Amino acid sequence: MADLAQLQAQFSAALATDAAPAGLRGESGKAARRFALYRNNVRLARMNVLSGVYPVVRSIVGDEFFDSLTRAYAIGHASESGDLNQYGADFNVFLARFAPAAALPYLPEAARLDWLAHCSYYAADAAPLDPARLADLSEAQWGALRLRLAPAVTAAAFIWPVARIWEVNQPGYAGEMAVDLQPRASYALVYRPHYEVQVAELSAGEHAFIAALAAGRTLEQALNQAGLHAAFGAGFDPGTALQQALRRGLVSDLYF
Amino acid sequence: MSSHPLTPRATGVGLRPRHYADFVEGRPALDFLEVHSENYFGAGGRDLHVLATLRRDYPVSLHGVGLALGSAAGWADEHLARLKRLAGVIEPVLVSEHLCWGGYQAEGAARHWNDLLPLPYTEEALALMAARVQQVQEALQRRILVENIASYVEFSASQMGELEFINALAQRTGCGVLLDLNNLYVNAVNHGSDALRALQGLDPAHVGEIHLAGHFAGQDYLIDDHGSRVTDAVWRLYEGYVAQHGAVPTLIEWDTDVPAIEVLLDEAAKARAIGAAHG
Repeated sequence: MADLAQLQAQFSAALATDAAPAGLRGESGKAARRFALYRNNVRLARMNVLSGVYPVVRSIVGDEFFDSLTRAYAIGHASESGDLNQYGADFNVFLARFAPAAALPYLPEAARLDWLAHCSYYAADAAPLDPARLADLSEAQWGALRLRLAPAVTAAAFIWPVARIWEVNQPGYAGEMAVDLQPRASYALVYRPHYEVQVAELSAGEHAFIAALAAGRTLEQALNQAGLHAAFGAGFDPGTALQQALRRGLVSDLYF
Repeated sequence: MSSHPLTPRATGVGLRPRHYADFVEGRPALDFLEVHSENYFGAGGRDLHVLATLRRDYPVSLHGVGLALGSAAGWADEHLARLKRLAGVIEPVLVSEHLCWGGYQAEGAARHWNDLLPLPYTEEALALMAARVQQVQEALQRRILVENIASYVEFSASQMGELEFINALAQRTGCGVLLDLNNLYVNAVNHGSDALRALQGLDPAHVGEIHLAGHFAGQDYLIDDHGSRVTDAVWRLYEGYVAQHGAVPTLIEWDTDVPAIEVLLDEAAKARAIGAAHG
């Protein structure tokens, strides 16, 4: 398929630059203007997707600056999938290197949280564990017990107060707007009760607890690790942490 | 869950997130719904949940925008695998894709323009499209429909018209044709061709579905933005086609500035009335 492959390769090369490809029918100036519609469509489609995936970044910087960020990203970043919902996974990396956004050093982490929320939105469904299943366990079983997190659940660590930034940038948020924009260790939980993605701030201990469960540690190990982390900061209550995880529907199953 | 094929007079609309609540709560009277397959490729989540719920009451057509069947490079088996998985969950009444390419290769990796890019209508492109359609039909174990696209450029290399090409593709592979009359009209304006004459190149026996949508008028071209009501010119094409060849399952598409559900239902009612008068 020499001719077809060559035609498409030329078409692709032209989409990535400002030229029009050879081989178009009709008057060349008109054909070039028409061809430019494709270049524009490709960019707009990418920008639209980023606008949907990165609502907190958009809210932080405003629509106009967001458009300039996403246009720059769209021009420089090819799509790797026929499913455009996969596009933009490394937008945070781009933002960290994009000089015009340097005044907002927390922006890459806000973007990372937006992406984690996007992934949570499309993650597999899992019914929350019925807490009654814990009631029947023997002492020995408790020692070996592991809890499986639902696929839509992620806990992540940040060096900026990203969960708080997320909160004040939610549509309809009407609470206190002030955010202390100083770097500090912060932890966010992403979860999805009733198909709605939620973000909650976690303490260091709670984060260690969820991360240990995700890593396949036993409940006992996870609680111990959380206690160690918590020793450096706010306290950690194992009973409360377990109850809250169950109430939030983070746990989908138990195993040994 | 209905698994009967659509009747010729079946009328549906494209299901978009803005209307999820209207459908879940109201179940408006329509013969089928159509979705963009890729928007339901997630392992789970709200979209898939809503679609699976509505599937109990409506036949669902899966309309893909990302397989890029005519791509010489950058074909992704994984994309087909995800479509197959979705089809297994939803049990669609129709599966369709486009007569286009969109994948390419860069730095040794598969890349995608995520746009419906036109093919040169050559024997070589036909052979590739036929092989890909057969691959998809074998993977899904069913006949698919292939849609004519709207385009802004044509290639000097083309040896036939788009509908002649798609007709030959249907003959060769047994696939059906999703006849998009808005795209046909947009192309007639963009390329100075005659839509009715182009239709003569298509055997109506291949047509399994018709798409109707609005378009945007630029300075000296039209864009199929699916952002407004079907225009009078496209309704006339539709009425003429149905009067001549009989009713075909028809879908109203709306993707940009999606209006209230009543507007889509109104457009669908208009299509239904034409089907009833002439079908």
